[in-house]
Amino acid sequence: MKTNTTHKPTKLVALMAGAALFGMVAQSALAAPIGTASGTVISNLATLDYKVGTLAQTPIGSSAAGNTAGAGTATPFTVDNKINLSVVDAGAVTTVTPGQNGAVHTFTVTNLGNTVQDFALVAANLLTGTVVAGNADTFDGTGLVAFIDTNSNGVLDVGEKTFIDELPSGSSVVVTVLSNIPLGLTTIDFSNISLLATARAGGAAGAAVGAALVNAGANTAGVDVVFADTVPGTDDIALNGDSSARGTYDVVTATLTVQKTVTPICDPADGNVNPKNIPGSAVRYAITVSNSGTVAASLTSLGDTLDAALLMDPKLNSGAMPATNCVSGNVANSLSASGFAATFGTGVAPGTFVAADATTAGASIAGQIITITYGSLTTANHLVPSATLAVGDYVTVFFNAFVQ
Amino acid sequence: MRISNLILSTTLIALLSSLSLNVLAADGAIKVRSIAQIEVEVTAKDGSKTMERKPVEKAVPGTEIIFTNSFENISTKAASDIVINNPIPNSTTYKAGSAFGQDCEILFSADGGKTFGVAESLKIKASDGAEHIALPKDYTHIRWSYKKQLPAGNTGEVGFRATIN
Repeated sequence: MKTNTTHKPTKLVALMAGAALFGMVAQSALAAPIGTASGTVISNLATLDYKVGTLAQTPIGSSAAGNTAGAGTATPFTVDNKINLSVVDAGAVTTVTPGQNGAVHTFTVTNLGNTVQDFALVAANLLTGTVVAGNADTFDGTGLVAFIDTNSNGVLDVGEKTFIDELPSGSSVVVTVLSNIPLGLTTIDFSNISLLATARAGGAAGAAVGAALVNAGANTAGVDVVFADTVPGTDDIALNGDSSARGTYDVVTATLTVQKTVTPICDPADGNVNPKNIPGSAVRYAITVSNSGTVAASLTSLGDTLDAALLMDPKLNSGAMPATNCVSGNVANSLSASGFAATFGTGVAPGTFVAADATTAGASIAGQIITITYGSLTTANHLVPSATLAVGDYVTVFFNAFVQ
Repeated sequence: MRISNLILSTTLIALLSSLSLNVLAADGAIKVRSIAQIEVEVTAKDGSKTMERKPVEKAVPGTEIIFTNSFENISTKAASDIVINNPIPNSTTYKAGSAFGQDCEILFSADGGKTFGVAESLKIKASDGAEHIALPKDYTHIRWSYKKQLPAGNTGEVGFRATIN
């Protein structure tokens, strides 16, 4: 029979596990056993035919001590318990945000031996500076725990086991590690961890991991334990009945930049031809928030208090000629009935807007205090408001103020 | 050819008990012994390494086992046409080229012992009915045909290696 250690899709696997007699945990891949099961008796028997003179004689079967007549007795020995396993990191770094509790990182443990085994699990922080796949460790998470997340909800629930119970030969199981990420970290921070799995005695499902195993000394007629983990993992030694692998938590944060620019629009003398900042002139403010981090940000609100010498233009004057239109609240030059406009996009904010960018909600002024509520900021070009500012995106809010 | 002390001692007993005149009586004419061993590397004091055969211990999947069948003529008459038939033991796979036996023609079977042939000539039928050259893993039996007479008191030894599946 071909040995099949391929992982099945999780959903399919969950169904299989549910039907399995072992009451096997979900997230496990049941596969064909690897090698002859321990306890199997291998027997050899040779039969010899011969003649004396020309007369064929009765065949003689062999025995371990030597047999001279009859069918003989097979020479037996018993296959021992081969202990071998692999621990493999899920491969991708787990991205976390500062202050995140119970961040999930997964490993896959495979029983490469020939016997059903329990496996004890230990998740540990690696020393600061330890490099895993190019990422140097800079901090330790807290509350590390490794367990079998039977219901795949990313939480250690009551009844879920912190060890692997009864993993058949050739089968794999996903081990979940949780880590609490401290606050105050930035995108350059990494936490590298190891998962060590140690084979324990199998044979009976239970609430506690099976007994420790000892590599057999002298051979016995029965089943002996033979540590055969010839390839050491990242944090263990070979032929010790254990294996390990390393994984990484990568901190991602949003990096927000707020930029406020001011541009002359018009003045009552020159209109929009080389406007100067004289009393009665209009300037345009553009407040741009952009996200140069590695994770989306959720924007709440931004408050901006206008100088007492400024009066917000309730109509967002375009500055178009004639110069006499350069007054606050001028309807003919109005670009926005709300006095505000907003643009959204990716990359560098262009600093310009069109009539359809006039806001219908999300920006307002009370007294001298301008409040932008990003979660409700709406324009004809941006009908579905969202507080989320994706990585690389910007949002710019425009308004005019007249110099008093 | 290796003769163990055990064989020597048991031979003496057998010789004593076989001093009958019953020439045609097959029983007690040849003693057939089968042992299973493993080979371990032993480092001598001078650092030289030699392979030493020991009784099977720590037999796990992948372990190579040496199966040795010895035969000894404990009668007073020469034996001839000796043929030793050995099914490949359960849960093991024959190791290519490992069968040994001085003065023997060694043939294999890949069909459960129905037909025998030299290793290169063996064929098996795949599930689709097509014939393929049998690979060592397909072998089911080994047969040694001893080409000489085995005079009284003489011994022979044949064997092979197989790996635990």
